[in-house]
Amino acid sequence: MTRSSQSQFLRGLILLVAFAMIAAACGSSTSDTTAAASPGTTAAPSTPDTTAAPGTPDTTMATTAPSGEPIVIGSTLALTGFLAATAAIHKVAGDLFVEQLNANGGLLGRPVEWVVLDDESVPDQAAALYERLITEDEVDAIVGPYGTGTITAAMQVAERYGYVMPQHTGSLTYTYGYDCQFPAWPAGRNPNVTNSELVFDALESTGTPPKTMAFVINQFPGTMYVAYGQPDTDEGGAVSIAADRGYDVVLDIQYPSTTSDWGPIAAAVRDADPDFLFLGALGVDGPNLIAAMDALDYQVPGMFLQWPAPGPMLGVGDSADGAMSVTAFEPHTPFTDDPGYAAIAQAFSDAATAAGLPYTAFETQASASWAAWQILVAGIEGAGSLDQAADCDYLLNNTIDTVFGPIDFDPDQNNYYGDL
Amino acid sequence: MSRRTTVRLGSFAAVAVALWFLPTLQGPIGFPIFYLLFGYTLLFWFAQASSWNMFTGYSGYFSFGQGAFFGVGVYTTGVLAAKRGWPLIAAIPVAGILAAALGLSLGFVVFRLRRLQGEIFALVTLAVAFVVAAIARVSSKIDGGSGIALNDVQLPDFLGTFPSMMFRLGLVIAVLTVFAAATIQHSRLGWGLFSINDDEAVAESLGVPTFRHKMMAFGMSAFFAGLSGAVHAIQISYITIEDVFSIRIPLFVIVMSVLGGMRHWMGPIVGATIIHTLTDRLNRASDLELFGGNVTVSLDHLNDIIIGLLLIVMVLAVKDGLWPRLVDRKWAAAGAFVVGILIARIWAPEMSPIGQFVAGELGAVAVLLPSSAVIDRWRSRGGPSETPDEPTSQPTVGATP
Repeated sequence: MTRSSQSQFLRGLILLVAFAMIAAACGSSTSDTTAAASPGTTAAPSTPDTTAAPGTPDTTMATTAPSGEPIVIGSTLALTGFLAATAAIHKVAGDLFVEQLNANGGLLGRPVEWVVLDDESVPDQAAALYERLITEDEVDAIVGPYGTGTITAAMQVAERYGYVMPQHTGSLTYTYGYDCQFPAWPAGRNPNVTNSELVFDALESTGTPPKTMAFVINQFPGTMYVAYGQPDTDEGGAVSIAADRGYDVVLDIQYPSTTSDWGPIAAAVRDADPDFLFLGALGVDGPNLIAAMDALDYQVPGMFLQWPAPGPMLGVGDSADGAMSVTAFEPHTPFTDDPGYAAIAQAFSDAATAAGLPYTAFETQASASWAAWQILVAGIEGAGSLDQAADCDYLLNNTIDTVFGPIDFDPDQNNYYGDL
Repeated sequence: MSRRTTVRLGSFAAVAVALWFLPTLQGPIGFPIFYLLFGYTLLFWFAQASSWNMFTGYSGYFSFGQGAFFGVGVYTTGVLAAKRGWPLIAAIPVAGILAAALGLSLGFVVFRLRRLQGEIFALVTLAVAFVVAAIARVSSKIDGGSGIALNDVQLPDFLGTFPSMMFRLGLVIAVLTVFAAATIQHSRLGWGLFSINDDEAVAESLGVPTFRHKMMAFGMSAFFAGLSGAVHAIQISYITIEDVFSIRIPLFVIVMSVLGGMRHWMGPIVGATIIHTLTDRLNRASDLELFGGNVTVSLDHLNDIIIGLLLIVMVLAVKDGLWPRLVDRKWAAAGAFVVGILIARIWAPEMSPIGQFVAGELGAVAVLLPSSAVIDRWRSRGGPSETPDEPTSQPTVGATP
């Protein structure tokens, strides 16, 4: 390549990158339907809300407006990137929680402001942004991001600076040795065992369990952990548990998180023709694969999806018959036996509708988000201060009421509870 | 060691020593800790862009291998320091050596094959990153697809708190890399690389050992990229295949080097400074308040558009990078820089020092954008006497230091 042609090549490349950045930015600005985009804030509303959240401390302050300097809570969310479809649920839930919190007296009598930055679904970016939130913005408290990768990265930063970090749905449980990280969802310490056993128990309880099984796994840390167990030890894992239970594993493949061409994967599933497909799916992986299988005029009899964005599955239609997933909360009894939680579920549904989300039910993701906020508020109100060490001590030494019921955090279990 | 090299070494050492003590001033002066982390990231980009440019910028061989070398460095820290319990300080040099070994192995094959020049060489180096990523993904000893959390790494406590440690490690590696880039440029090796860039066949016919020169530069480029990646793994905190081997690092170092200028060691420094400070501030500027808060400009979702447009303008307007023009118009640029800062201080008194720096930077860039033809026309109407648009001391084929 001569110097002249090299220069032209480089300039062309950079122009291409620049145009791609502009195109991507245009795309993200139209697809992001959340009200406060990156970065954004949710500030105190002017009118009190009488549908106070259970577990939100001191709801008797409903008539006392918060005053003083706002307490700033920082976090990131995957407002763009491959986790954006699910993170949008966390954005709506967080906005609603902060709104209700402020309407009911705020936190320590002060209004609360939530600063949300866009981590683009990238752990590297999440770590850098939490570093900035803590060291430059000097936020008073933090809430974890959405997505196991970003949660894991942010947690290292939180530990570095001694910040309490409630987090919604982190699933790389074996790495979370930081005592002041508090998982909200009841995933249990060993989802690499309990999750698949729950699924297989359910299948076997029907009396006609599948004989052959296919595993198609997103190369995302959390889904890889559930499917293959803990690296190095190979402890647990859905694939080995299925084999141990006598299922014939006819397919075991992985795909990158950024997969856009689902045809080859659909063809592999069709060729294996399993009785049941265990799809280690995130976001919109499920609808994408089902659409690709539809194109091949093929449908699996049964399917499990790990952690899908719930809304898009509704649009799949009959092809999604037989699809199942795990959940920690649904807007019906017995979850909503407490009228306070029924009110929250309704309020979330209204807010999600207003935000234009495709699925407005208060289910696993939204409830996990809600619980994370409840944990944060419980620590601060319980300790009566914004001192991070005091908040952490309070959460470790007291039972915390959340939308999932009372929680006692045990550092020996990396603060995980439940067995989802 | 020549007198020039001694002076350069002394200058770099002086800068390094002065900056080494910057973290100790954080307490007494009271500047935010964030500045140390911001400084670290800037130093990281200095090292990455300079390491890429010391091969591609000088030789003209277009390499996408930066992602692979960086990834080897990151995963060396992940495997040795996080999984096997090595101290970080011990893992860093191993990362550089492994990255260099990868670069030299690759170079040994591709530099011997004439048909692998030009675009094919670029594609081969791009493919290497994919291959390394695939190996890391399938091997549970390396990653296995689950990523590696670096929460238990033994950090060098003697370097201070975490921000101080990152800043100092980043400083040492950046200084070493930039010093190497500057030394190569002014050495027989650098002149040989420039001659390869201009016309490799002619260079060979004149006795330039092209294979040896390319191997040396490629190996050093990979070595410093690996060193820098090893430290950056700690900053990332949780490493995954998708992020580490993404196209982001190779693209950014290319953009930074081209923007600053690829035929001088200062080019990547200038480009990295502009790109990093600009992107950092634009990504923060959700609402830009001007005139004491009377005017608010919302930049939500516009950040990438603004950066993209600026890149287009700069790349179209500045053919050989900003550094040659900065040398030519240093006083005008310095004046515009000061004016930019003053305007920022008047219009937005609350703006952070980094924001003010960016304002000054944009002022300086505005002065550098007009082509030499425009400047010449202005000068012909009574401006200062004509000077060349870029340094005239570009090496020529067959020249010796």
